[in-house]
Amino acid sequence: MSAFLDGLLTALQPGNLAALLAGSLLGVFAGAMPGLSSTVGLALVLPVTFALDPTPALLMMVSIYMAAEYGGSITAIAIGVPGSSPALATTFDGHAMTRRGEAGRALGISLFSSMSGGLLGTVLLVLALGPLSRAAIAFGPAEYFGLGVFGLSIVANLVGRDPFKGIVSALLGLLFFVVGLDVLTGAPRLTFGTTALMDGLGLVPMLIGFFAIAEALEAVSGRRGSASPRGGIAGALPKARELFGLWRTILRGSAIGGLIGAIPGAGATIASIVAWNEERRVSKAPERFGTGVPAGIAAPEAANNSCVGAAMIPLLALGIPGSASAAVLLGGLTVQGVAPGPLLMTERSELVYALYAGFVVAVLLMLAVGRLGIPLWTRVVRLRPSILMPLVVAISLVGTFSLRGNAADAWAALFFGLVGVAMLRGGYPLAPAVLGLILGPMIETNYRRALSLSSGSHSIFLESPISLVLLLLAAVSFAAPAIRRRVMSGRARAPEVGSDAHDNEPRQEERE
Amino acid sequence: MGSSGGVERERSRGSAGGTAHLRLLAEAGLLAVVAVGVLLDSRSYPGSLAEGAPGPAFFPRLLALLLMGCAAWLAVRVAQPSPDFDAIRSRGNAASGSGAGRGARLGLGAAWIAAFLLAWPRVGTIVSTPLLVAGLMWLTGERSPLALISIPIAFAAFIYLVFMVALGVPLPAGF
Repeated sequence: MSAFLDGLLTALQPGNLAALLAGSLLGVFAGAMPGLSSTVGLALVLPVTFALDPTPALLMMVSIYMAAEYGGSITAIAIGVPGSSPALATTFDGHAMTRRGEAGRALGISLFSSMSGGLLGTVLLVLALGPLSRAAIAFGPAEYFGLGVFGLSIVANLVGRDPFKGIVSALLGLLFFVVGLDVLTGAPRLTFGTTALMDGLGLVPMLIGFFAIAEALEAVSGRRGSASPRGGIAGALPKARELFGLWRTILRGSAIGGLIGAIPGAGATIASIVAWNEERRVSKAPERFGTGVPAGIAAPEAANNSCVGAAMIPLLALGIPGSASAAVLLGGLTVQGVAPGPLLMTERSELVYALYAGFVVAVLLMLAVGRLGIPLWTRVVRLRPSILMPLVVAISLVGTFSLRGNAADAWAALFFGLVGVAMLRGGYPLAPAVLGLILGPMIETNYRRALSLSSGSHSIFLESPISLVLLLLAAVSFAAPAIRRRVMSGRARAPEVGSDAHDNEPRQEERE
Repeated sequence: MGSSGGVERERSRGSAGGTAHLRLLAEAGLLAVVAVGVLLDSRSYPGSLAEGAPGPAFFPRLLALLLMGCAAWLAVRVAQPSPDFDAIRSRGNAASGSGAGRGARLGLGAAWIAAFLLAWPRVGTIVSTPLLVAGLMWLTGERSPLALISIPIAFAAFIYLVFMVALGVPLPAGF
């Protein structure tokens, strides 16, 4: 408890508090703007965090992540377009309430549910991170290889409709990792004699290129909608009694979000849709869902904010990012010299406790920024893409240059932006490529280290129970989507509302 | 009339299908070229330093072989259209839309960014960033002279104050 209070005091220091507040503002903005998302918001702010100490940098990033999950609901409720994909389920009932002239009430419910979900997700993070980190201390090369392969099997869940293209994307990501000097022998690989490639292709230029520049180039080419959203906010805010009356719904949504968010690859979009569907299932009047039911807003919003804390569990304990946003957060941690993994709790405990407290403060700031800023956000979301996207490109390039004062990084960001556009147009999701670049070193280096320990015998991977379990889990994870599709196609039944809705947003789903 | 409409639809469907075939074949070809490039490059890598452990060439070669397999699979899918393939193809066609104009704008956007990256170290941040922003705004469809002038200038001031003054980042000063 005293460690948490120390963390709270750290989070409340003026510089850290300013970082949290800036993160809340940026997060709500990124979440509310159609075309942006928590991932793009995090990628954009990544260069700014280079100049900060690790604690404010990390606090700013988690604050963005948290606030963006709420921000998406503003546009979902106001104009019926989810600002980011996790707010998709919120449009069903949220916009219906706006059409009835109850937008203020809907936004109030969304804000309160997001806050509650965020706090419950943080509790889950505090409870789970320590035990998982302690279990992971026993890991050697064979176990880390198993973990890396399991992490890569997440690809099977990130691929969207076409698993084949997701696998190609992951292979390309692994190939991007190969560029540079081999860690174990120092041999240059795929550098083509260029010294600029000796350091390898950086994660940060890739993240900024894929998630910020590719998005902006799509807008420049006219493939993203250029019409600015119209709509307004009116109506009274909800009464406290109504909000607290939703506690069962919020608890259920948070539990679903916490469970799904902690599974790498599942993500906030799936969690919010499952929570909405589950709430409808247990409701006494399921037919009213989609017509403007408060529980239809509370469940998905609690779920997607609960996901944020839960998604930090595999990231911080194992170094496995379960979503594109978590991958960008990992990039921020790496740049700050913070190595996520089992030793983080022991070596950087002060940072971890500041992070716990920072989550709580971030949630409260999100409440304040969300409540006070409702009139402002409704104006901001009308910013034209023809103004927003060029600014995104310019900030991305300037920020990438700031990383090492090296123009090659800005060129790399442009390269990855173009690769990102080409991949999106070909239907290849971007998240598996990012995962490939991140997990490549873990898989290759530990595979070779393990085999050098066993003099070339592959039995080392089967003799370790942890490695064996992880490899079996990876096999199940790789096969699960294909099995699920086969089972589903075998059943001649009407599609569910949630899955229909999810199918409407394939590109957003790929990003998140 | 109905017959003529049907023929038109068939022709259009055939042409779209042909374009999709070409696009997927190009993807397969590109994957194969990348894989061959990796295999050729890996010939120069040294052997392993530890007995029994694979050397630096093992992982890239494995990836290259997997990419080859993917290229072959893609080619097979193009040759044997299935309901799945048709769905992917139609999605691809829908996404292509009026491809030429969009492709040109994308090319212009990328070229403008590349020109900025070339000019940036020489002319400096304060001069080059407003030009970058103004050019991209124009390409994205912004036609208001007030916006095209005021926003890039305000952005340059923002970059100067935040990155160069507040964060102390040594961005190119130029000249």
